[in-house]
Amino acid sequence: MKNDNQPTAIPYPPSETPWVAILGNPNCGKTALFNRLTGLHHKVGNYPGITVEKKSGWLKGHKILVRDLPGTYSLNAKSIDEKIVADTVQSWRDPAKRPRAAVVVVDATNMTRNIYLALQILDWGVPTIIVLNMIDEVRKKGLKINTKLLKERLNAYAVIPTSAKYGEGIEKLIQTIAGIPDNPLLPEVPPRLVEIGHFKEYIKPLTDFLEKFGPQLNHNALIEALRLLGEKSYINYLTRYLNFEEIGQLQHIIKEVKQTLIQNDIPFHTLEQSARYGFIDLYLSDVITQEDVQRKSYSERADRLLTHPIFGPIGMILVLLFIFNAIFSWAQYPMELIQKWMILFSSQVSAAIPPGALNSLITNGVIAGVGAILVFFPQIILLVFFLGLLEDSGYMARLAFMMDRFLHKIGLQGRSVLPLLSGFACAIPAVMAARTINDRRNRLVTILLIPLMSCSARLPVYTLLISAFVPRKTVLGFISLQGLTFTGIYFLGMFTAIVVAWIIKKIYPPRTNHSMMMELPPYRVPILSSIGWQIYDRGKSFLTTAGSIILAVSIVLWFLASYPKQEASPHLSSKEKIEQSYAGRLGHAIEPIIRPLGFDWKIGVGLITSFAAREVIISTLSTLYNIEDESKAQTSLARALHNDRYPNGKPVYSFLVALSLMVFYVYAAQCMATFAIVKKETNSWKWPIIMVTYMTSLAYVASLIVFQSGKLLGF
Amino acid sequence: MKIPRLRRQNRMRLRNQKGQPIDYNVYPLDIIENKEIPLTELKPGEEATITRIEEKGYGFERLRELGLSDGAPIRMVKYAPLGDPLEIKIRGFYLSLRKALASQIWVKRRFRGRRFEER
Repeated sequence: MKNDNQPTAIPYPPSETPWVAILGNPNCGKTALFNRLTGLHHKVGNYPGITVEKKSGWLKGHKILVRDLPGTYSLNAKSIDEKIVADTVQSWRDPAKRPRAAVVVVDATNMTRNIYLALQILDWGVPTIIVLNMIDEVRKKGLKINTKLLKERLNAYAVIPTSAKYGEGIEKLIQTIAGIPDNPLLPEVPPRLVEIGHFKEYIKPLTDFLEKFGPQLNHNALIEALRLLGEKSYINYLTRYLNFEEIGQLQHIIKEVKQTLIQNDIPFHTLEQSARYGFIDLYLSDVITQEDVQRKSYSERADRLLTHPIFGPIGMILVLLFIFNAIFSWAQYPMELIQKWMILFSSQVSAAIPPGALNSLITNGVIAGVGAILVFFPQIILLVFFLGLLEDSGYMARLAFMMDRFLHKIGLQGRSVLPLLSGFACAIPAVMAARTINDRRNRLVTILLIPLMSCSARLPVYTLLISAFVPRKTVLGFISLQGLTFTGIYFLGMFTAIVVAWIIKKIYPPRTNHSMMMELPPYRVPILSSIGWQIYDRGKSFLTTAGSIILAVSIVLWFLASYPKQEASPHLSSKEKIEQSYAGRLGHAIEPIIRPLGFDWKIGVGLITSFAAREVIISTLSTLYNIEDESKAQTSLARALHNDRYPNGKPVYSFLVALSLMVFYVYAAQCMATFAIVKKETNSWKWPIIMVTYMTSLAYVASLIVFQSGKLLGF
Repeated sequence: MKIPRLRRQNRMRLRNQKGQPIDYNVYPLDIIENKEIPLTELKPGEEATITRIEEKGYGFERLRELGLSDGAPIRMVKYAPLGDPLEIKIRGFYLSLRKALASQIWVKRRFRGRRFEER
């Protein structure tokens, strides 16, 4: 039996920093457990595949690195984030790259499916700790898990029940990880699967061949053979260990073995799967015992209403409307407060510093720029909070379920709902979330559509223009006109995304009829602290990445607007001064192009600078207007916009101009960060360039239509 | 032996060859139909046993990995509001599938005669 058993006790040199890998199915609470182990907090999603990044942190109180790998159902990767896991595990062939331990997180309420991945990991011969997470839910369900028997049957290093939610068993897990010796002697065990129809006999040529390279491959030959048979691309992993000739021989042998299996009526594509589930059904069925029988789960009963053919979509629209209405009205109070503070702060600073270039830089460049962004912080926090609630409660997966048919029609899949909806908060995490889409084509299209979703950076622009130019009226007695315009602008982006997707589908149709396979996780009460950390992370990244760009642009703009100084002619008014500055000249230069859209040169300056980030137009305009009215105290930007007139006395801004500008902002790809992230995610310059080109032309044409037709209609 | 109450929809559908309703107190066994049908023919709430999965296209391997083995009991939970993805319960969890893939799964309808543990 020696040839069956992998030499698991290979002495390997402990790599410089010992590390442990955390693996598990999507939605098993892996990220929450990671937060518990490291003390660092990260996103805990309830939507399959929320962990798209590889995260690491130090194990509490120990010098051991903990790496959180993306959630996956199996090592046979179907998507990019699953491939990250598969590749990491493949690197374990190299003894130096082995982790000190593999921690496989198992959703204990759903053991049979979760244990499949655990079996695959266990057979790599790394000390494997099975973590039975959500043990609190198991107790509530009346299930009993015999952990001792499970450990025996699996031959695992340890089996530890935990609850990442309540912190149960975490201490024991930390101690177990820390207590693993450098060279643990693992018992030699046969691979954890059953033989189906004497397949071992038929694939013997393959296993014999692989056996010869045992030390190089460092993985059980039988499993290796099964994977080679089931997965076409698996052979690519072996090219590093075998030379060209040997790969050729291997391919030949695989072909022959497949022939034999076909002759003997054994389906070789899914041989490993069947063999593993055979093992699970045979050995693990008596590990779990159930006391009372519950026919329908709580979630399923809730879903009767929440994914009901009629009430489901109604609920979905209500939820979305509620969220958008809330961020618009609830955020008003803190926004006004911040605005007041900033004005107070600015005037105090202005009084403390002697007048001159420095005073001007700080009040008009720095404080005005940052202040204009801080004002919109409350809205961003609210939106991130609601998105966190949707994700962590499990409702997001139901949205995908309900929307799939619709998205399928425009060539996408239900999974695109999460990235597309996340696009409402910020395009940057949304583009990253598109990694969960397992089809490259759908992923690309989703990425191209995300910027059409009105992200939170556009909120400031919409808010400013709506509060300044849309009358505070109510329609039908209870819907505010401002809220209606706001909703309309959001829907415009979504509607355009649908049209664009449909057009892309015609040009670049999906190659195969891909199937959306998605787990509908049970509804769970979101962990509020985890949402809190999510808000903290997003808010911080907004302030640091967006904030730093905005600050820099603000200062550059202040410079552009203040220089060259017209020292020679002091009789010039402030308005003439700004018109002759660099910024004014730039704005004037593009004015002929944007004139048909109803924009003046100041908006032109804003459009140029807001390529850094959309919200920059606010700080640009406030800088521009503050400098113009140097004599007055800093007035609120909305008032300044209202008061701005053309030389002939006509107001620069009207409802129509505001609308045209908002439409422009719905479409224009004005975000350097989005451009950068799309470049990073698609790994080519082609896609970000395509994105910017199509969106900018769309923006121009749409604004043109809005303004010109509005003028014709007499607005 | 105490025979638990059955769910109404299954109880109504069970009839003997003459079309008369079956008295469960006399005949409380599960019935697996002999006819093999694609999963998409199941109505919401109906249960079945997987007999085979066509090995074509994309996704059948993942179905096997998720525990849709031959012989595994399966329940059709519902169809999405727009009719396309459908939701099944398999091995204790809920999975959403598109009809295109679900029609590759062949099942035999199962009617409950008596209640037993479901995971």
